[in-house]
Amino acid sequence: MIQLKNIEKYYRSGLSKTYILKNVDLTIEEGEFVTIMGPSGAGKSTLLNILGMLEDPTDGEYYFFDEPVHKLRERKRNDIHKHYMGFVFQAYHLIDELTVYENIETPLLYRKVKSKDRQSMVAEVLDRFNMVAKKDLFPNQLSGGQQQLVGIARAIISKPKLILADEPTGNLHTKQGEEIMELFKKLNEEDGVTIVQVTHSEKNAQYGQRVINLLDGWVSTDEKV
Amino acid sequence: MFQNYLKIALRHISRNKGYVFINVIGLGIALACCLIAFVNYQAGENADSYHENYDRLFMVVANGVGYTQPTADVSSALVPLAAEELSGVEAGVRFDKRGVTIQYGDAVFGEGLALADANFLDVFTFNVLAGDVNAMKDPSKILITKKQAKKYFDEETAIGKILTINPGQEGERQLEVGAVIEDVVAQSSSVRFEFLTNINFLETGPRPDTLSNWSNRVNASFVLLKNPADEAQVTQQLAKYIDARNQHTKWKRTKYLLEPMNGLFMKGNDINNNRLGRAVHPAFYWGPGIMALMILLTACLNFTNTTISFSNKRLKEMGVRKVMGGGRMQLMFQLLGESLVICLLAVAVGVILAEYLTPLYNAMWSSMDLALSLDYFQNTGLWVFIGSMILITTLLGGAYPAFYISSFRPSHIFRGNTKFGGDNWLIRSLLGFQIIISLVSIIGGITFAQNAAFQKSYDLGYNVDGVINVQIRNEEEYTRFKNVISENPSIQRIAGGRNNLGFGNWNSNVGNPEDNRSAQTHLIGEDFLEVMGLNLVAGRTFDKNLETDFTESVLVTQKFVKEWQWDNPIGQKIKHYYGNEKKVIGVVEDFYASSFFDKPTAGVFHFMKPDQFRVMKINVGKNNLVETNNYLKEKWTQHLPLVPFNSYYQDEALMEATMITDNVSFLYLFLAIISVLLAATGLFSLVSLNVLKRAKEIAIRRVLGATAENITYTINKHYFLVFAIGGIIGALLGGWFAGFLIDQIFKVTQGVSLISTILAVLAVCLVGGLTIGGKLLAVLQTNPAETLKSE
Repeated sequence: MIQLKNIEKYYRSGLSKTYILKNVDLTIEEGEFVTIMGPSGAGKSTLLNILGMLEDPTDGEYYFFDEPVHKLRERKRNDIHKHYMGFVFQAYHLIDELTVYENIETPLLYRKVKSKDRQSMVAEVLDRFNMVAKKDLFPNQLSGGQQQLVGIARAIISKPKLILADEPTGNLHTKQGEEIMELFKKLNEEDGVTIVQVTHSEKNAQYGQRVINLLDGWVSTDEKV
Repeated sequence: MFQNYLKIALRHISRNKGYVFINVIGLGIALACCLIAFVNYQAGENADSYHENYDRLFMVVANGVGYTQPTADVSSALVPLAAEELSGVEAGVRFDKRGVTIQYGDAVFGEGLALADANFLDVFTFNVLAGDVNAMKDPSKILITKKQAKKYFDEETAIGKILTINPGQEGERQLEVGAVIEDVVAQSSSVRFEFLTNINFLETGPRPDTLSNWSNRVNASFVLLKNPADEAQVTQQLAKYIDARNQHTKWKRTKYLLEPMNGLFMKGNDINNNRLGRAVHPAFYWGPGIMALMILLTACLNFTNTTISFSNKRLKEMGVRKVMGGGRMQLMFQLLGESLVICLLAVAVGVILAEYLTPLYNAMWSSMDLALSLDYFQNTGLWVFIGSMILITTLLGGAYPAFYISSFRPSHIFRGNTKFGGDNWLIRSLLGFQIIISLVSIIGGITFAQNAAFQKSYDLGYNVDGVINVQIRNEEEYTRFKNVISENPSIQRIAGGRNNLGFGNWNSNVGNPEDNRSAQTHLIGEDFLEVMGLNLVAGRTFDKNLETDFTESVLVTQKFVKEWQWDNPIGQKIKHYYGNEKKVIGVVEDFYASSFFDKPTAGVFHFMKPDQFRVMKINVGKNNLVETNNYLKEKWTQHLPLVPFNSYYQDEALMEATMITDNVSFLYLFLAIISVLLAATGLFSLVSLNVLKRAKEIAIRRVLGATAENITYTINKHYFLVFAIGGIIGALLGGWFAGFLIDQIFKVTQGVSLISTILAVLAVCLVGGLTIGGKLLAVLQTNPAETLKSE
């Protein structure tokens, strides 16, 4: 599904380069549940952003289903991004002005899904996550765990092949965190969604099948759980 | 999708009421001003266009020896002949106006009677509300406007009533009301009338004018062409009538020209002897437009500034939307849509506000009879204007923020290192613009206010304050009334004249026509100079006991002497006003006859006997004007009950000038207050944002021991530069523009004073200082430890 060849990310300051990522080679197959770990500043989030096409690498090649992403035009890249990927953030990043229902609906609007289909798709997800009663509330009326549920619901509403999660439980209590992780596991096992998560927590890493450790921009270890 | 945008726009608005309020009110005021300025401009631009034949109508004017501008003074014989002989001319209409008294029962009023050819209503479009549409063709009929019908007959039907028309001396006639015509709107018509009858009126009566005579003339001559494209051809053909006219008079014409009805209203001042009535200075139409646009520009700048300032809150949303798959164009449309919603709200406010302001604006120009209205049902131009205003405002105010906010990468936004604020060069330039506009308006306001004071105390060279003028029609009225009122001790002196200083003085040729010289004509009676306070600087004044003074002597002004470069003016001989050679017996000190609109011009005084008088001038001193005027009215109605009493104060000659300076300075100050307020809100939001953005830096600096002055300097060093550059440009531009405008309107001005510039700069700096200072005080009162903790 994903193949990274010699990905590098650095900033130039004067003559010297500051590396965020260096020589990253990585292959992720469809259906995998991958965890990226490493100390602060190791480049975890940058790697995730590059995978999600939110950031461009400075150098290297990125193939997504054999498409050379690094050569694609912005529009085409947006298309891939739009059709294959869902994002979950540590800080949830819900739109404060929209209700639960509207937040979940937003990705469908950008995919030009018809109104009727949208209604049934959102209803289905709300039902699945047991959130029907909360659909008209605004994010600030929900607990952190509930907000993250909305975040995940939003990420999967358009049936992505890949979910990228940046410390999805970082702001949650242990109990809520466990629930969220169970949900990811279920999505991976039952729906076959590929998941890449960034986390600090060893415990969370246990939900996945593979752990990649980053250190100062390098891949230091890459092993099955 | 659209619903979603609308929803979020409305929720965004409801959560940022302060921001919305500032912009809706600011833009609303600006749009209200623009609406009024637009209908004001439309009134001038579309004047006369209600005539169905508008495009084919032309006024005939002529170039002549001794005139630099074309003159409306053409022979009354011309257009009927042209209509008959020239293939391109469908019809010719002559239009004239005479002062008459009109009597019905006990009611007597002095009125203007318009006279026109029988085809007048076929060529021009005036709605006949009642009566016979062919009444013009019957010389025994008179047509009156609805307003006059009400005045004379109350609500009774006017048709068939007999009015007694008295043109002045003798020749009283009875005319029957044949039709009632819709009121003519003065602000949109070159051809105006209240009473109208067939021009045949002039050819009958005891002292008839023969209109087919080439030496006769009428106020205005119009032709209706079959095809407007024939203009050049008809102009050429008209040349053949030049000789016929020139044989009969010595004021030779060189060429006839056609002046299209389209634009005549605005151009009226450029045509000599245009007796259709005072045309309005074009500045009256474009001036308010410029001011309104300046207000709109400040409001838009402010809109841009505050939108960007408030956008920090939107960044996360934009990032999320991008991650969710929103393209940049989609986001820009969303943001522009939100600007559009604010603009629509502003339009609503503007339309309501304009409804209130329009009557106030009309009332400001009291003597102009202004009747602007916002007629949304009939005026399609208004809708087009509002539509384009919405578009322009949305784009002008919203485009940059939309472009800017949608440009950020979500990964940067989420990392929290995207914040923006008052450190962008564009935002700083916008602030600079606001400062410039504020300065331009303040300088203009002060300049016109100072000018008003200057003009009020300016010595025009004659007695403006203590004179009452009474209109008279003949010698009998003059002598009778003079005898009646002479007993009143507060009346110091009485004089008569044929025309009056300051009220429509005209120029006549001096010498031979080919000399191309002219001078203002003053036809005065005994004691005129004394009553008017005009000083004699050489020679002697007229003596009523010397019969030759009436026929052979003139007085001239200093300016006249200068123009003719006479070392010794007394005894010089000139030809002026009907051409007899007369001898200069004295020189009068220069004075401003045309209020402040013109410099003193060369003038010639001719001596008139009481049978020529049309105005009685009564010197009563400054202090009992009103009282004496009441007394005059009482005596007049006692002794001349059938003649309407018509009086006016001499200082009314300055009324228009006073009204204009007062109004322009008022408009300017209005503009100044709004632009300063808007600039202050813009500045405030910029500084707030800057402070917010640099809260941590400021806190650290304070912990490290920075004083209040250090902090002030650190935060504001950019604004100092903006203020300095904006201040210099604004001061220069403001001074130039105020000077330009005032010179366009007046010839007697004080110009732009240094004080006005200094005051304006001080005011802007003061407002800026207070705005920044207020915010800074708040910052300095917070505990830096708190700030650092929360960071």
